Amino acid sequence: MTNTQLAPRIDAEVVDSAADSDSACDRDLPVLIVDADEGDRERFCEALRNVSPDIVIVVCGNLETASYLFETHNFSCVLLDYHLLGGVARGHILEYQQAANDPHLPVIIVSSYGSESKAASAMRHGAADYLVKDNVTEHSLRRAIRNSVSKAQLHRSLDRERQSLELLNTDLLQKNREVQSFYHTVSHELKTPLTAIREYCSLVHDGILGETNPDQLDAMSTALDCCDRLTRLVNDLFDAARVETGKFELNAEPTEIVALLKSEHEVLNVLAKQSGIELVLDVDANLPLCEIDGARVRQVVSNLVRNAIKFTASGGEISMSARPSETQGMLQVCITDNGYGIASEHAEHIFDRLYQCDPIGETSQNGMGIGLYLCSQIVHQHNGTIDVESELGEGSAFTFTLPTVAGFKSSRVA
Amino acid sequence: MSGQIQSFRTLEDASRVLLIDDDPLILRALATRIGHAGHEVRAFTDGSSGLWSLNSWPADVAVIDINMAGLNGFQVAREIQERYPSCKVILQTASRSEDVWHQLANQPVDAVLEKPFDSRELLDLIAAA
Repeated sequence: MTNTQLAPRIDAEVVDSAADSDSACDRDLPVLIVDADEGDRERFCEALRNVSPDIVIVVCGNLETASYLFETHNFSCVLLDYHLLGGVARGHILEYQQAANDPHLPVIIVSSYGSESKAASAMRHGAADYLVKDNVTEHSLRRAIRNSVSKAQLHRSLDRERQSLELLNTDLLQKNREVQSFYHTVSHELKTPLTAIREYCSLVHDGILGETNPDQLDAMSTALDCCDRLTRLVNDLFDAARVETGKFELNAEPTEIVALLKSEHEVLNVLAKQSGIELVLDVDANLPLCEIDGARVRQVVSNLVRNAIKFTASGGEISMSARPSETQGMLQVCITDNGYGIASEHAEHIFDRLYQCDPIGETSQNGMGIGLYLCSQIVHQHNGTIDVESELGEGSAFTFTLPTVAGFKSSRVA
Repeated sequence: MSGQIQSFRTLEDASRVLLIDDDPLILRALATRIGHAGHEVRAFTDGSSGLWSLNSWPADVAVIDINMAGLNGFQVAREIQERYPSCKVILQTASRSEDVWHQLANQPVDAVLEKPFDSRELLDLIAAA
């Protein structure tokens, strides 16, 4: 280290007038001057001391010493003679930054001969600045160092932010997996005993374990209905968790919407009749094929009709209808009832997750606030819309749209 | 608990049904249901015992739970599909995990039932096998 000299401590005010804690750290670090020309080295040292009397400067005259210094010292900035490098090639500056273990170490190239193309090339290859020796003044040198150091500090700060966000992201992904796994376990653990309960109730109900009287049959029917309700709740909870964790996926394929609605009507009509409600199916047989996840759309229809049954008095009427939507390439499904209706302050939030209305009508079963949220998520994932129009005492109309196969194809082309 | 539970009266169009589920309560209920429908049933709480039974008792249909300790339902199904291709495979699961459905896409079986299910649906599948 014969070419190395250490100068007194720096003056914080001079090197960087923008006082902040990060720049103070850099002020404590020396500036390294690597130049073969002793006269130039002294000129740069003098220029720096004139503007920052206490600055610490380390100088050396060749790249080998500079490499050694990088391994043993930290620097705030490097002034590097262009001719020592024999030109700035891709990787030169990166090598210095790697040797210094600081990817943002500012390296300012100083050269006897300046040209715009050389300067541009040096900057492209990672130089923080490019100075022509003859034009170097105390102030241009100070400005170049100050700007380069500030820029490096900014980059380091961004790096820290990025690393911190990456850590946070990793942490959130892990938590996401844990939540998903928890819901999966809970769902599985609830449904396994439910399967056994349902099957034994079913064995009794069907008379396989012995003859049943009408009261026992009725009790078993109720137990089976409760099992099915509980199963839907568990499934809804699990689906809601999948929506929250971004795992909810559709398996869309061309589907006969009329056949789907007819088969749902068949199942739901039994429930409606039990409640003394007429469930009307009003669909045009010539409706086009829809590009939908049939099981999920069944879930939407079933949920809306079950809700309608729950909030409509005996003797009421519910209608399931489907027709082409006003929106090109979409089909509109509407579930209308003449039940208790929904107050306007509730209607605007009815699709929100976990939203609860006040008890309505004769039922106290308001659910978990997940069913309609899931309906809206399923419809939105089909690129459809879902709305409700309702008036207290008059009934409600839930309308949602689904893409036809033609509409789905044209939206993909667009 | 492992081993055969019971077999029931047989009909001319009855099937031999191998039932594998590590939950003995579900196993017993389903065996009762399937046996009552006139099929011959052998029920096991683990995949290895179920597979072993096929050496001497070729089944027409295997109804297998997916989530089991030891050999899981997919592994048992693969063995059956390779060694006893005439035996239809029905998987049943309480899971709604994507992993299960993705695995099913890679290893198709004759039918899948999500628990809890209406056992009449299972009987229809057995009858159609």
